Amino acid sequence: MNKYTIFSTYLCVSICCVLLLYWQMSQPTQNQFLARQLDTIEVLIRDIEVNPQGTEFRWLSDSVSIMVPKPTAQGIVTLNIWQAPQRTATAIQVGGYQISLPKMTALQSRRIAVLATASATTSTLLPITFRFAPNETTDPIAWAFVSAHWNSTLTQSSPQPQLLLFVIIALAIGTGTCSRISGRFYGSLGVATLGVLVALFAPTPLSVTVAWITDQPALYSHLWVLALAWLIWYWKHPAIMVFMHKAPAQARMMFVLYGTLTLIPVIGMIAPPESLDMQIEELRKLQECPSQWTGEIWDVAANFTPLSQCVTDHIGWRNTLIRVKNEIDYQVFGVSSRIYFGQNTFYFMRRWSDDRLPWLDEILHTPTQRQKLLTTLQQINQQYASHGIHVIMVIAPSKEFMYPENLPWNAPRYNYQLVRELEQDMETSGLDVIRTYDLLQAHKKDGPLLYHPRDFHWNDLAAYYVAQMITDRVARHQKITSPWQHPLDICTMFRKASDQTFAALLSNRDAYAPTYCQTTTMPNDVPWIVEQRFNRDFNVWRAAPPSPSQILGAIEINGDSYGMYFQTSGFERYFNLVTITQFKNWRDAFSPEHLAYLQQNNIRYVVWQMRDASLPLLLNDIYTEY
Amino acid sequence: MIFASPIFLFFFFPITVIIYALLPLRWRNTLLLIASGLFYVSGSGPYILVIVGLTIFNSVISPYIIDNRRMLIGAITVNLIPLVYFKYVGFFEQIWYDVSGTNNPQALAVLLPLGISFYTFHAISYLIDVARGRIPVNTKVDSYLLYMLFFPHLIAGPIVRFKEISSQFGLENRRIRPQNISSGLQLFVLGFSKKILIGDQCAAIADRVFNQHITLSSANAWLGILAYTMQIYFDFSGYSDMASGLARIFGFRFPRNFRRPYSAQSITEFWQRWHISLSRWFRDYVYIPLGGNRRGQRRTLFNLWVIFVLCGLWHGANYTFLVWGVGHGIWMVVERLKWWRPQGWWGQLCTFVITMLLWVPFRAESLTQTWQIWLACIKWQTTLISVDTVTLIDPKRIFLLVLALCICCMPQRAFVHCKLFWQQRPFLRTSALSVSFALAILVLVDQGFTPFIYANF
Repeated sequence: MNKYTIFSTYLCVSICCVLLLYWQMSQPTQNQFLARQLDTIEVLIRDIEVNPQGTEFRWLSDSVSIMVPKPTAQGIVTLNIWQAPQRTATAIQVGGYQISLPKMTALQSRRIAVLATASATTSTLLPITFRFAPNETTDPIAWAFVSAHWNSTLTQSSPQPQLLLFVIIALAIGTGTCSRISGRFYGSLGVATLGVLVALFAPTPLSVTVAWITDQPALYSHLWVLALAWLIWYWKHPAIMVFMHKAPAQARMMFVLYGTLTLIPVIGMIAPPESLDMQIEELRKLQECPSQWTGEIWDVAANFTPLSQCVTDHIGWRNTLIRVKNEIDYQVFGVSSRIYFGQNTFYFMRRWSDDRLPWLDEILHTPTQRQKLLTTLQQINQQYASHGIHVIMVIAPSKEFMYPENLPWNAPRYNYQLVRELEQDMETSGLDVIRTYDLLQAHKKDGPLLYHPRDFHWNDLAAYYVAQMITDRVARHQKITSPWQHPLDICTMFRKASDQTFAALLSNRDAYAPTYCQTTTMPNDVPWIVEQRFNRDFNVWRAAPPSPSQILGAIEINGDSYGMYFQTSGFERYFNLVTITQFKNWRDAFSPEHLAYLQQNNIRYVVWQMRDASLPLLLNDIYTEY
Repeated sequence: MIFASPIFLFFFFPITVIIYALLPLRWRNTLLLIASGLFYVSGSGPYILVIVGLTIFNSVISPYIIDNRRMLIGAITVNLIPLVYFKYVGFFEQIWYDVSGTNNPQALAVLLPLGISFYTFHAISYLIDVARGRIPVNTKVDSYLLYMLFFPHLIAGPIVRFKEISSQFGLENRRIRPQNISSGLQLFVLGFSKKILIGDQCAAIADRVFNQHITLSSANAWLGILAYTMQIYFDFSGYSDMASGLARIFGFRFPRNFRRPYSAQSITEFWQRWHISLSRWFRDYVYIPLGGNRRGQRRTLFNLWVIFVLCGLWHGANYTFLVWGVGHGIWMVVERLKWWRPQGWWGQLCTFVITMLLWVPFRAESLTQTWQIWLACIKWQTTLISVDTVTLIDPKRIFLLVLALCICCMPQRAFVHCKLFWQQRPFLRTSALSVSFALAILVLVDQGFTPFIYANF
């Protein structure tokens, strides 16, 4: 064959390979979803995780059901399960399908894709039921994290065209490779045909091995075989042959090195290694790949930027590469760009220590800024007071302030005195403030830890003490004796350690860490229910006893993630109604809908809870409004 | 697109090389031209028309500028129009409002086309060389277009003259040579590692100081300046190495752009080692035409000063760059007058410190910030360290900063010994480069890529 024929063949085979890949990616077969689609769904799962309907479940029975929007046609349900050591999911039922789950190691995260079709029922929701093994622990509380996402698909197509394409390509590459080596065309054609038949009808060791390594189904793994064959064939290109024979050893080494290090991420991007590339927490949404041209035809740069960012965010083996880098940093230098490894197994997120707390420090050091902050807090108070609502301010101290002795040497240390002075100023200006820091310091001295060592939140114990103080304060305002009487009942539990997860080391060791909790499960306790009001962007947890016989009326806690811990304090026993609201934007706290809700439910007390590190954000969010 | 981005490293570059290897020799220059066009369009879109327009204009005008001073000045003026419009109109407007004391209603914001400062200088050097008869008029528009657009030097140099590159357009140079691929890849990997492993790590320290995320104590200020001093060198020399490496893979050779500038013993020597292609351009196309050192001492000093004012403005349309250029100009004058010229290690130390301090206006957002940082550097007694100084002392980054400092400032003899050691052990060198390349990829994937500093100019 002359060089033009060779080049044309190269070109044809390349085009065929691209077509096959495109075909694979665009056709919704079961294989495809296991191999390819999960990666794109991952981004969507993150959205779902902030949805109150799928974030966290606490269950006491052997099965739990969640509802996801039902498909209007055939589609895929993708589930992300992260289970605590106390429970093991054994099966999952989606619509009419029941699937036994493979044995999972405790704390292992796993995603499952299930092909499902629309059922005949008219309901717009699809029930998904998890079945669990009997209790393996005496601990009655078990946490797990489940999120689900529905992805509608096209109708499943017949696999015949793919098969035909595969046969053609395999024959072309096989024949080309063999004939280049042996110089005999017809013999090579025979060998290639035999190879293709074996590949189709017998599990060749190569395809089985590749399937095992990549955890990809057989047909998809054939692509890897094709890629390998293509590489061998390409290797025989005269230019490469000359290079490999004449080049000095270090030149060959550089060539192979660059080729290998380049190919690995590229192949990983084309065929994502789902089962091996352990996901990491980014605290951001990865860039989605652009699906269509935006703007005018000459806006190339504007369209190229998201494409470039998409490649950066979805490069093959990205999660593993990041974990390897973090592990090297940790092992060699004992540091991480994401967290501080402190004393006594304490971890501290660097985004707080390096960015947020210095910001707070700067604001409190600047008289004008500090006055603005104070004014903002007064304005919040006035907003509620004008509606006859009393506000109790609670500033939750950061772990960096509460346990500075556990900070590593290279982490900045800030003095809480400035926040205390702010609290003093707040009291002087007539605000009702709970001195949280002093309260917790008093309990810290001889008690168990009040914060999770590997998570930035306080734990149930700290929330218990603060909730007790809130209850006492409300009782004092009503001029009655505090009804608080239930004692602190300390338990221990494993909790997902967000700081450790965020550190993203190579192994996911210590992803769950033991911490203290407060046992609240009592026979007559009222359950917390999740309520979504006004179709707005915030979550509400609501607890109301069956009969409104409690003496302290209704109360609302407007808080951040620290506020969620009040659920375990047991203080809902002393109120007619407790709602814990987590606004994504604090301005929504003064929306007409929310104020009307407070009036309707006769809520006369609002706890404005926020973390000290969030005070600067408050300044930005609210101050400018007035 | 920048060299240190995954889309370039994993897709654009390998695909270009593979197609380049597969194509017949005569198509390879065309491929490089197409690839360069794509490279530029991906970053600056329709602004490619500016380069294409200049190229066509220069090709048409070049036969008429030989021995015709007016035509030459006219042609240079036309070439300078895009640069002035895109880069300096807003600045001149700002100066006008500052001088007249009126409020600037809204500064003219124009998006700067990538590499405009560099390709304008490429174009001007071609015109002047043709006019002076140093090179014949180029009759092949595609060669000239490739000279202007060639993606390795398009964004941030080095500034290559047409004379140096025109002889390399021949088909014989397009052959794939193992030695070129080997040395080119090594240079590319070395530059990539310098940028990602050292430059970007130093940037993390410098950014905290210059972006005012930290108290401006003396220790913080000095650490920030030192980090930026290392960042800009490893960033820019890393880019130059990558550019030279890429060009060598395709059979081109670029002139050297850096020769250990921080080991210089005077500012004069520093400029013989820093961004050599730019210094050379200013010397040949501005300094010498202004009279150089042939018209007496006063004129020489004035010429020197003018060169550095222009050099500062070339880097950016801002007062800070002007201060940086004037600062270097003043030191050059001082050295030329022999008022201050220490030698040996003392000279190296003084030069290094002066260079460091002059990088402050280069990096600072404003003259106010420049002044604040300079003040912080000398206020030792009051604010030596602050509570957040420890946040800068990240063990890994400090290790890399010290390593960078050692590489830059080690004595020449020790450097030569080191160089010989690596040259005599190719396998060790390749292995070390392999490890650093792998590490750089890990860092790139984790932290993403940051643009090269000089890509902004």
